[in-house]
Amino acid sequence: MQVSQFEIYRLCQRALEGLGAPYGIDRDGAAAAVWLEARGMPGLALLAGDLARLETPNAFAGLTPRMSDAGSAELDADGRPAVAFPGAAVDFLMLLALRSSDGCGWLAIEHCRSPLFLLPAAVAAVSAEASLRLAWGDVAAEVGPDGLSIRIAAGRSWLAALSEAEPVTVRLAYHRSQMPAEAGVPGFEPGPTAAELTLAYDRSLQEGVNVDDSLWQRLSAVAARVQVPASEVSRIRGAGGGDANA
Amino acid sequence: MTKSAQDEAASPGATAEPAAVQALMRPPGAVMRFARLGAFHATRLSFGRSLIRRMGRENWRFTRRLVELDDRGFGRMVHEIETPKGSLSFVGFSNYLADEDRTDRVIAEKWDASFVLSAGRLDAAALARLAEAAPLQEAGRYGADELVLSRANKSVRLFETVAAALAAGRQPDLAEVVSVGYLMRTTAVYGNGKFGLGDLARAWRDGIFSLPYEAEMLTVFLIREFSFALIEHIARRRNPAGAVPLSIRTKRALGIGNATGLGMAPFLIGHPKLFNNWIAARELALARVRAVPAPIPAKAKRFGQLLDRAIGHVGQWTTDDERQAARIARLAKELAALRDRLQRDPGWLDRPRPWDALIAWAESVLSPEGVEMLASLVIELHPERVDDLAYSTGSDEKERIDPAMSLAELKALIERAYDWALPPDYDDPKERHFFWYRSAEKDEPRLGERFSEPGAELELPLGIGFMAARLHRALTRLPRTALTASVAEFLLENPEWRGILRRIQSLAHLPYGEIRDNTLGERCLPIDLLRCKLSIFGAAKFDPKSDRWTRITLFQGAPTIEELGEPDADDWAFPYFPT
Repeated sequence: MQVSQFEIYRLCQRALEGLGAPYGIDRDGAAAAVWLEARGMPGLALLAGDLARLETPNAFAGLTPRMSDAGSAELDADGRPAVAFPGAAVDFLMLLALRSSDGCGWLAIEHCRSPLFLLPAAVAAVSAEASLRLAWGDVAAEVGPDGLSIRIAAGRSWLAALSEAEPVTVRLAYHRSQMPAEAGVPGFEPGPTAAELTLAYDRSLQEGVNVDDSLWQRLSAVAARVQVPASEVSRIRGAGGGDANA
Repeated sequence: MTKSAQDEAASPGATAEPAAVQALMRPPGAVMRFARLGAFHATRLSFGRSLIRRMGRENWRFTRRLVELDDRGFGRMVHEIETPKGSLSFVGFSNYLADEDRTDRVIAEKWDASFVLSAGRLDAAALARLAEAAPLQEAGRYGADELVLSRANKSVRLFETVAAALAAGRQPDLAEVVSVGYLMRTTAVYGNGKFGLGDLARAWRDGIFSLPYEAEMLTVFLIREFSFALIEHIARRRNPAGAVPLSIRTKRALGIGNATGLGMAPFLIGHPKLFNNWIAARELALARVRAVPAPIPAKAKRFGQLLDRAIGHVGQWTTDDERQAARIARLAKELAALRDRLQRDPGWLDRPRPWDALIAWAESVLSPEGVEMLASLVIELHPERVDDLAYSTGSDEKERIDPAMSLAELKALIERAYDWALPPDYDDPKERHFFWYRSAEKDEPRLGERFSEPGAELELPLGIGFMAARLHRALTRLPRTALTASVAEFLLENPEWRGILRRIQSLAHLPYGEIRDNTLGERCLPIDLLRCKLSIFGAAKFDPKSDRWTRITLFQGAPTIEELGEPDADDWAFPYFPT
């Protein structure tokens, strides 16, 4: 099925709202999902895979940081998916950097499902002068003046690595200026390049985004929860309208 | 410059405008009220006007490539449009529709005609696919090359009358034409990715469109051309030897109707940065004209001509709605009185800053309808001062958190920028009378009464004043020491505030982004918000059918495609048609 980015955004926003995500969190999550899908990454699949966890009562509850020092903290996501807090986590990381004497903030998020949802928030947060690194499992990514680069553990398919949903620890570092170049992490190889991601985005604009029908239907069922069932009263009083022959 | 700063700088009013002009901008507390927004008229910055100017300036070429219509006018028609940035295609499908199936509601399932605007040329396969999909409208699927989807119904009051007249070899009665104003009336114009259509970013990247709703306005303009071609075809088939085409005079008197329901109101509330830029452009245009330092005889003469035309226009503006009819009657008296005054005292505006004096006078004695009509008229006088503002009506719409702002600073920001939101007693049922929701029926946005209708638990977050006041109350209840905490810390632990807090921060320097009235209160009249948005599109002849939907006319008086390059093609504000 071919869909537009707008449709992905709307579906995910409504699905998250239908799951109980507060106003703002639903939009963050939807923006993350469409950012990923438009670049050939599995936003919808991860969200659909996270539905069961997102149905639990505390899925969108707040997170309490454990501070290590001025520029460093830890969060325990308790198995919740990152789609429930992508913007809040990155905002907090930036605050840590602003408060630290060296301009660098460090944040570890433990037991975080589907950490890929943090990537779009990271890209959106980084200004031209700053840089941000995040790493989990078989993935290491950096957003900086040269754009986004992603590295994947050698021998692992990048799509499989990025699709990892099981809870892991995610480590994020934000620096108010460009971070010193990191020596290549042993055992990691370049994943999708910035140019490839741009190409994928252009293609999704040009042709629409191919999505899996069954995923779409699963998420649509959840998204439909935000609609008020029709009634004669709402049809007559809710919107107006009338006889077009007059 | 950060992205946020770029967006702010791009916002009209936040640019490096001379202080004298900035000082003349009307305060948001006066402008962003239901009653004021609900009195807006189109200006030369309205999207329909700027589109007409652009098409003429860039010499867009229109070719009717395909006409396949039967004797009754059922079939299809394709226009191709060549622009300097690329080509477009517009296809219209005309189908039989029984009278009982014709409704203005968005929940309708059949229409007289359906339309698609596409990027590039349509090949036979695309045409066949759209012939299946377009008549289904929301139930069809579209591709990324298709940019806009629309539908329209024939005007039962006028279509057959005009067809019969043309077939009889004569022009229709102009008074009747003007009183209706259109041959077809649209009930929805969809773009930006809906039902699989191309995303807005796609349309903008291609470069043909760069302003909000430009593609949608082009579609409406082409539906008007479609309606002309359709009715001329029907007349010719009825009387091949004797039928006449529409005269230019008749065409000019025909726009396209539109029936608009509640959906526009949630849009304005949900896109505050865009809304700010629309209103700021208008207000800055008015301020620039008010800053004109001295009378200019040619402009004064032109004002007199425009005033005459506006008086004629208002005289041809009819509605069955009692509230609007009374407003029109008062407006007519006010404009006539102004003309009398100018005739009695031709030197009345012969003073420094004449247009500022005129608007100040209007604000002291005229109704909001009158003030806003004069605002539109004086903006019309100085294209050289205002037309560039049409290019500042877009926005990236991104809202951003300032993570380091302290809660004390946030509280002060709310008290400064949302002071209008704090006074209502939201515990009073009258202040939370309404809730906005999405109906399961075609996803139609609707308004419910909170205390008597089901569904309030699925309320859309459109009570901005209420939410801002709640956040303020929550901050007020925190211990003073807690107010030193940052927004990022607060939001990490209290995610329920993320949406409204980000909005408040993002609009801190965008004064026209919020409607400064309670959109949940029982005094909320959605029709005011509909009118505001429609005026920005360029609508006229507002004809409310209730406080929740209205009919309007677009492009009445506009040049036809053959006239776009003519020197006076842009001179169609407040059109009047002597009959």
